[in-house]
Amino acid sequence: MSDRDPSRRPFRLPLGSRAVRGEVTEEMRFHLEERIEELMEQGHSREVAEREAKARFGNLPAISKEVARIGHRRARRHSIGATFEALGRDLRFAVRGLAKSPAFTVTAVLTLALGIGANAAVFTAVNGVLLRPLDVPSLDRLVVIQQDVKGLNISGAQLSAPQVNDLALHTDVFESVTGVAGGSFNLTGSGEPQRLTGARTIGGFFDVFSVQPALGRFYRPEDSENGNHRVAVLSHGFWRGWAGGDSSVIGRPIELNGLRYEVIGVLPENFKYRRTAQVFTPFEMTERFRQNRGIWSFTAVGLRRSDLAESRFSAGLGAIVAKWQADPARAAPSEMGFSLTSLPFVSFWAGELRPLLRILMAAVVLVLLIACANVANLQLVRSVAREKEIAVRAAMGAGKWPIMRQLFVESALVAGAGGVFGLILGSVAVGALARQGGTSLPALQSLTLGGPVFLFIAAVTVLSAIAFGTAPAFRAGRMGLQGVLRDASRGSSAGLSRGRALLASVAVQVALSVMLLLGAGLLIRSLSQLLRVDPGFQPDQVLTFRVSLPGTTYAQPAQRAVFFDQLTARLADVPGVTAIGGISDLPFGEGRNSSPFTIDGKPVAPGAAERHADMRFVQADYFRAIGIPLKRGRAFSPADREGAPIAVIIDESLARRHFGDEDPVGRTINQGRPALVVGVVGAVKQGDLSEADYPTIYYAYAQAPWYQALYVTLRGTAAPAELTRHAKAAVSELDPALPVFDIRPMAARVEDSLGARRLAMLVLTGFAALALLLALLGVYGVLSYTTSRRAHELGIRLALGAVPGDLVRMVLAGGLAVTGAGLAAGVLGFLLLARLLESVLYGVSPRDPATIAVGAALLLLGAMAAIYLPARRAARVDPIEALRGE
Amino acid sequence: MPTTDLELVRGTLDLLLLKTLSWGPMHGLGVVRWIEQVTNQRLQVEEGALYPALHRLEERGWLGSEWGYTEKGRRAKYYELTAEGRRQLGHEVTKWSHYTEAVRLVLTSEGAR
Repeated sequence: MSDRDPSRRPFRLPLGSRAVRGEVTEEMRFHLEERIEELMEQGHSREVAEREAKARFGNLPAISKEVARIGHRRARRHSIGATFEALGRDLRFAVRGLAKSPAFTVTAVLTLALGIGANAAVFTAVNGVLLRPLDVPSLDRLVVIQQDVKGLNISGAQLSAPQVNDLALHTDVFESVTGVAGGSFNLTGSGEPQRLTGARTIGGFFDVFSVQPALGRFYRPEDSENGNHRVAVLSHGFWRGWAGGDSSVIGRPIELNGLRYEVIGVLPENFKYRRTAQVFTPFEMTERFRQNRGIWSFTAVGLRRSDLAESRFSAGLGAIVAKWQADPARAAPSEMGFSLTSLPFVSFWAGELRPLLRILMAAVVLVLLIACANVANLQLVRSVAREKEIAVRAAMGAGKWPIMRQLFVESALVAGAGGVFGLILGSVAVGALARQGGTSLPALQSLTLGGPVFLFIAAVTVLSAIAFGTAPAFRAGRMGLQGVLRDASRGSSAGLSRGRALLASVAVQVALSVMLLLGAGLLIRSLSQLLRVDPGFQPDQVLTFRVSLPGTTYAQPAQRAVFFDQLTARLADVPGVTAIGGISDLPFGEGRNSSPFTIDGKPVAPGAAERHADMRFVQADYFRAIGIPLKRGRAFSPADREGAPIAVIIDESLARRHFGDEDPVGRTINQGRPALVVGVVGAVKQGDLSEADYPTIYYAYAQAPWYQALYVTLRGTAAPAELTRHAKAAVSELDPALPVFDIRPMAARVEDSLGARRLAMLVLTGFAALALLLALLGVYGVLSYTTSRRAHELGIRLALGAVPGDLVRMVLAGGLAVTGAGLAAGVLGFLLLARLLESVLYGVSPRDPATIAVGAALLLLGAMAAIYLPARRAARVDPIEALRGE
Repeated sequence: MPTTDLELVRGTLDLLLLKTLSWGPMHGLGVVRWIEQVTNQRLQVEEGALYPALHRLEERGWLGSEWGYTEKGRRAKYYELTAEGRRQLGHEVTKWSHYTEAVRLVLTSEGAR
């Protein structure tokens, strides 16, 4: 528009291209018409005047074009500059505005920082565990191949060496396949003996993971077979610790389990297989491993061909099984129901953390939403105070868009500050998470904030700015000039709509926090149920540790039995020790060793599944040491030694399942060789308190000292540190080259099996508390605000004869209605999402009514307090004051 | 009809425009009239060259512009000197006086003996 007072805008903004041309035309036309008029006034005829004017002007089209070109250029340059200039102005305004209301700014930034920080921490864990547990390029094509044997009730078992080798032949499916056997080594010959974790591999381990040596070279698949297996590749971390990062380490000998290996390579720093593996060697292939398809001791990892679609992969796997089954040398008995299954390497690694992290991610998003709703509330309340400012700006000619943009910039600034503080909080939280969860969940140890986390947080920050910045900005845009006029009338429709927006946002906050509260409640209930489960033994006052006898110095099985008997004898002298024993695999450990057995005189019914039981080998007084009660018959005695008839002790689980009411003592069972059942002990939880009992057969180690390593259990009243000292001394006296490792009180092992659940419970409870606090603050803040805005109305009511009690009731009712609506929505939402929790719950239904009732009661109680304070204030309204206030 | 006495010396148009507008906002034709008037019609500005020059000065930020109305109520684009333009005018004037002084020295010098 042109009729503005020129003083308002001394410099016009440049125009768009059509407007530029229009202006140029108009300017030229004015010039010519004015000139013609002037000439006609001097007495020239119109024709002459026109000709003269045009002649004086010169080439009109050329000049117009030239001028328009300048205009366009200017418009283009200006629009870029103007954007930055406006942005700078908005930023300055925003900073000034935020500085003017520090209470709002600090509250908003802190609220967001809490929400974003929680997101940073949880996403770090999700990224490190679920998304990129291993820094290799082809991560999404890595699959773990396992076997299911339905007939044996086995699923997800490892593969045997011949099976892994067969898989590698199927190059139409896999680019490369490796089998990884866990390995741990006694490192000797350099200072105190040390226990290393590592991996012994077959197949193309380094090809599968597409990793290149940082130093030296890697071994080849054939080194397992051709006698070149005494070579070792070191992890970067171990290389730095052991060799001090010396690159001349290549070619140096390293003594593992008493054997000389040659160091041939070092892995790059970012390759952390199993996160902790320190040494990698070729698996030394023996005839037994090469031939026997029943020794399932390799984790098979394959690299899916890049040209094979993920959807066609399982068909490829099915074809492999079909091929094997058609080959008599490879087929498994058909009644066993053999099949191969695959799962992504990433989820294989994530293991038990997977459901936990999903839940936490969902929880943390809820927390952020609540935080955003809270900040949006703060913004809305603040916008009241700014109505005048905005109206004045609108009156001064600021358009709707610039006002909105201004508010958005402010929101972005708040969100940005929240993001920065959130990252700081997040890194603190990640540190705590790594410390807290790291002992029982090694996957969490190596978590660090990194690039993807920063990107994620940037995205979260932007989204939250949009989430809490949109409503206030649009409100302001709509308000515009009218704000000024409306200033006096508080009961106006805009006031009402703002009130409604605030109440809706409070209801949403309540709903979200109810969901978190109920989730946390279920996890707490579940954990307390689990803690009530009897593991079947008494873990208190038991120290456990492991000793591994290398095959080089203890080649004869009998030597091992002798060693452990000597160790037991020595430890018996330790003051305070009441019982000592050893076992091949502790409960709550990793080892499982299930194999089929038969009972003499009790054939399996035709068509029924084979009988299966875990085999465990116990030494000395294990049952008494760990506190497993003897129910029938006798425990092992020194008479159960090599040459004597094989004696076994079964657990109650097996007795119940396979003998029913009969007395198993005196019966003969056969799990490879006939054995006499001499006793029955109580069943124990083997892997996790939530697991069902699994039938177990205990053998006397003295009669079958096959295991090179035993866990020693030491029951004693002395402090664990004291017992540890004695244990180390006793082992060292017998053989100074033997490390004592994996030293832990038994109670800690039980405790650690709950690690993921406990962590989930703690974190979710923390989030729930945070959410509840934020939501209650929201309820309190909004009700306080609306009550104060209603002071006028309340005053009138009082003046008309209402008693203060009525007003309190009125405010209370309003607050409770909002809370109730939020509560109902929250419970409903929770019931819909409860499925997510199912996999981590124990002994409690995801829709447990008691939990819902307690959670709802807790929330209502908190809400009552949050509502009561503003309600009481309503009662204290002074009618005269309130009415005069207008 | 006025006769053209003097051709405009190259590069002086900007100086003339800035100086003219230093008296106050004017539209393009106003600038031409003003120059003709003060020079008693002796200096005639080529009108075609005027507008590109004005727009270029505006582009450089030395002039601002605003549409307004003439006394006769006709819409016209008024140009006005900006603060920067005023500074530029100072430079140009100094430069011009140095130039004319130099030219005068050449013209008034006596031949070498």
